[in-house]
Amino acid sequence: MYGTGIASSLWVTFKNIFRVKVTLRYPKQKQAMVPRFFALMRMVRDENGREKCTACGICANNCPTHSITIEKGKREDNTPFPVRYSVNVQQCIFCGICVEVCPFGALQVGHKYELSSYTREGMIHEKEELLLPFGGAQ
Amino acid sequence: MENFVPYLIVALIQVAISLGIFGFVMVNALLLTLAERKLLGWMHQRLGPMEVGPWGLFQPFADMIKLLTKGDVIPKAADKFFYSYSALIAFTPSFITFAFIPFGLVGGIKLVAADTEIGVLMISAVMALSVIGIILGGWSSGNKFSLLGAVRTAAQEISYEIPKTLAIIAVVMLAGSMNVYHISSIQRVWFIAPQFIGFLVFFVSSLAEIFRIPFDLAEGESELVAGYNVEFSGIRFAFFFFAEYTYLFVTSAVITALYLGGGSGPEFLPWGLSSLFWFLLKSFAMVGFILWFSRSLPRVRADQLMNMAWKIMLPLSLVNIIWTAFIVLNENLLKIVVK
Repeated sequence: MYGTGIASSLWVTFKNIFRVKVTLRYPKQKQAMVPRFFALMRMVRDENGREKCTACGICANNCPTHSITIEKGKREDNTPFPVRYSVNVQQCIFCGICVEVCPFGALQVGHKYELSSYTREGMIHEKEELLLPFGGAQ
Repeated sequence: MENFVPYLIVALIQVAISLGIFGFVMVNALLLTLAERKLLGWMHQRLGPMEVGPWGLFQPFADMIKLLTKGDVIPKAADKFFYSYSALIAFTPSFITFAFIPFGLVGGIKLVAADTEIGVLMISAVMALSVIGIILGGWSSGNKFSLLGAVRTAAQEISYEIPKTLAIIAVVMLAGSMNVYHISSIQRVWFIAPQFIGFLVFFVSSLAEIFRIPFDLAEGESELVAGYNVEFSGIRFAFFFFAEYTYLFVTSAVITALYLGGGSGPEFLPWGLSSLFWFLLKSFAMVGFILWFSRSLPRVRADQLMNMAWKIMLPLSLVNIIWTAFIVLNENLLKIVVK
């Protein structure tokens, strides 16, 4: 019947007016991340504040899109460390294999997901950014 | 010369009042767009416009600036003359109808610009004029979708004009006058009670005439892109847009005057200002109801639209006229209804 359909549709819209709004005003409000959320990975420092990474290159070898670039170097105490460690997020597919294969636990799940840039160079994230807490997102 | 000055003063006052009404029309239309977007957003559990100004209050003004500064595009296939002026033809009548709306009785002065004895007829006639602008705009765009929209507009307008006018006739029979102020002030009981069928017919027909959603076949987005205003942009689109939202208010004001007792209500302000208050309150409540109503329903099909006009609304309005004649002929009933 016409009347009941109209009345029930009016009631549905009326109820919704007073419900809690689901809109997130994105640049101003951001969603809370769950711990397992994987965006750009981040590098971990050891207890001395140095990179845990030994630049062994396993992550770069296992990367399906070849987006990781590593240059190996040695510190004064003869320990290996990455002189340059960069991720090209134009190629990265955020699969997380690099974090899984790292034998030293030097890579972790990171939460930085705002990765767009106006230049190609801006899409390549260097060691200094990756070393920031939570990938620099928070 | 001495005789000339009073006329000049009266003329200047009239110009000032009409400028004021023009400002009211503009601001009213702008704020109604915001109200509709907010209400629609809340119905979807969204927030609606929030970014421009506090709670998005300046959004319509930003939209207005955008529409006014847009480039003026005239399609190659368009009929240039009619394309240029159709938007004005659609908008101007919507402004004229304000002359016949009785806003109240303030300080012994009737707040109605043209207090004619045929006000109801004039509102109905002038509102029908702006369809010419819509049809011209749809045809002159040189686009098949806008032409289809215009053709639908013509069919819809002609069909629903008849039950709407018949519903008005019943009100005129009860009030014994076509003067809108007279009708609004004579109601002892709001005419929505003795004229409930008439009110339903008038409400539905009015929705169809101002192309609100259950009857927005003329601009059905999913079928006709945007109907008659496909090719319009910038200032011309703004005029069509203004016409639409002005008619929304005008229709609500007419419903208030004819069925909801006009400016009647408890007196609590000096100089009869409460009549203006009650009139505006009822009108905007009606606007809110129309926004709510139209955003809750899906669009009808073209054949359903025609069936509703000719097979439901027209017989209903005739039944309503017979019922009204029964009231008018029975003096005891008539005394209850009118003053």
